[in-house]
Amino acid sequence: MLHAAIGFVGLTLRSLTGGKRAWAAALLVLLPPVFAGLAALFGKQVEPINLFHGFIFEFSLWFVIYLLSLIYGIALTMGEIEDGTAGYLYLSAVPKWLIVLIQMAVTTLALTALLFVNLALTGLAASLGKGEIPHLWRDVFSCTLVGGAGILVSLGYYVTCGLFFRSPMSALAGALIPTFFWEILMTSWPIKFAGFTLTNNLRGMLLPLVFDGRRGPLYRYVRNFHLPDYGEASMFLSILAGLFLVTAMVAAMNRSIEGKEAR
Amino acid sequence: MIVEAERLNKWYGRVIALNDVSLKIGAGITGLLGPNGAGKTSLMRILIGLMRESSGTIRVLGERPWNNPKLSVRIGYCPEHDGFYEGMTGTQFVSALARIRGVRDAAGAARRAIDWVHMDEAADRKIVTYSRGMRQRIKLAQAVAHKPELLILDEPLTGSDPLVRQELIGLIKTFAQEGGSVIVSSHVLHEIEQLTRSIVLIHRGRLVAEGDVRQIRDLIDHHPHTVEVKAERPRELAAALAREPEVVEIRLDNGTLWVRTPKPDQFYAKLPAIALGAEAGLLEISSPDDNLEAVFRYLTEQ
Repeated sequence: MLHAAIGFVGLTLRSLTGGKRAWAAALLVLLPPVFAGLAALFGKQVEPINLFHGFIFEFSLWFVIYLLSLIYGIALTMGEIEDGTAGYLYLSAVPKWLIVLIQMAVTTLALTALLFVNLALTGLAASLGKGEIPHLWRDVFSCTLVGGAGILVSLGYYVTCGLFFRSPMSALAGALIPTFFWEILMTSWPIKFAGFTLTNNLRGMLLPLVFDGRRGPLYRYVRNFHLPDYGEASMFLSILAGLFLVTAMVAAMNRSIEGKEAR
Repeated sequence: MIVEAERLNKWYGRVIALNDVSLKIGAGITGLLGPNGAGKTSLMRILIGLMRESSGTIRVLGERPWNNPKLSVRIGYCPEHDGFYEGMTGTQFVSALARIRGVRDAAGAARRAIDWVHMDEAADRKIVTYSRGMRQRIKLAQAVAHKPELLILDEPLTGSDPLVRQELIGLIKTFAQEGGSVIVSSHVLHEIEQLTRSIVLIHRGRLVAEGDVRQIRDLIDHHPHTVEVKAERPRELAAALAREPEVVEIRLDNGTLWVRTPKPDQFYAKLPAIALGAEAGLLEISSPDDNLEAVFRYLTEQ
């Protein structure tokens, strides 16, 4: 079974790098550095460190991780079913729960590597013509680790949606509606529930790792509630990741691959 | 027994795909015959463990197929629809699937399977460039690369040109001659006739008949056929046909004659002369009964 499981690693990597999804991911990874570079070159009185941290908060550890996870999370399950390749995958020596686990682990690692590229390029672009950013690589690595946790949680949720819902549109709706209403709105509103969003918990983990643990101006919109500290945030994210992983594995064991004729 | 099903049901919400199907399939080649939407694909997906039955029991090679990876690797499956990793070459595709089915020398197994389906020359081309026939053959290669005991083929001949069709039929027969069992679905009787005499007929999710293909062929040949006849003067033709012993019923509907006959061959042979004698001006002859749907209708009405 180990040999077959290794085969799944290769097959998952191959499906990650092919097709339109790879182009969308590349665009998503490269856009923030381009904008950061333009802002650094043509913006007035912009400190490179503030520009870099601003892009981390507003793009990389928010939209980039959600969109990357969404593109690949739905595709891992619903995409395979729609493309007609799920039949080949599930007729294997590996149990379905392990297939999902392997796919999620490989995808999380691959997307975290993409996030690292995004953060590094953004940092370098933000410092264009204005000297080096202090502790750039420390910040890049810290943000990559925290972002990786965010990718694991959001990917787990989107994979679960892909396995739980019957059609691509309902899976997409199931994935996007909570993301929009919970993550984007709750994170932006200074109310009690904001402490339970993925974004704010990622920021809670990030705080002691970058900015030397001090709340900078970027935290202004979360000042009215208690931002989870590192321990609380890591506990919350671990529970969420575990919950989604187990749900996805159980969903995979119970999901019939019915094909389009069932609709 | 290769397959044993007992009171098998499958529901898609409120739509029933399989209705109380009980059957036994032995070794060798078995044809699963039925019109489109009969439930053939649903049954095949349950056999390979892709779908779970709603109720009833199913055993394939003595084991339950649902969530059973050990059984999965004993089965080779060739789906009807083209679903590929299009960016892969034929070799990469077959090799990757052999690997996840636990084959240690996946590259070697892929090469042998590709040679077997005579695709060696195109093996290193990307699948996206393959013709319909090549796609059918590479699907067959991935199904046999891990040396399964049972091959399940969902409409493998659909859309193939006559040459590829003959080649695929030869390959399927070879697989069976070498000791493997095959369940092959089709909605075309003569395709199945070329492969096997053992058939299972399924219609609207129900098992209609199982047994020798010749019995079905006899049913087609002997039950009253409906023939649609168009003529310039249909009333004159109807009057002439009414005198013929081969004709048991005539109906005139909007200028079209619907004739029922238990001896279609004799009727077809005599019709031109009858039309000529009656100066009816024969325009068109067609028989809606000449398809499998009519036989199923006949069998389910019995």
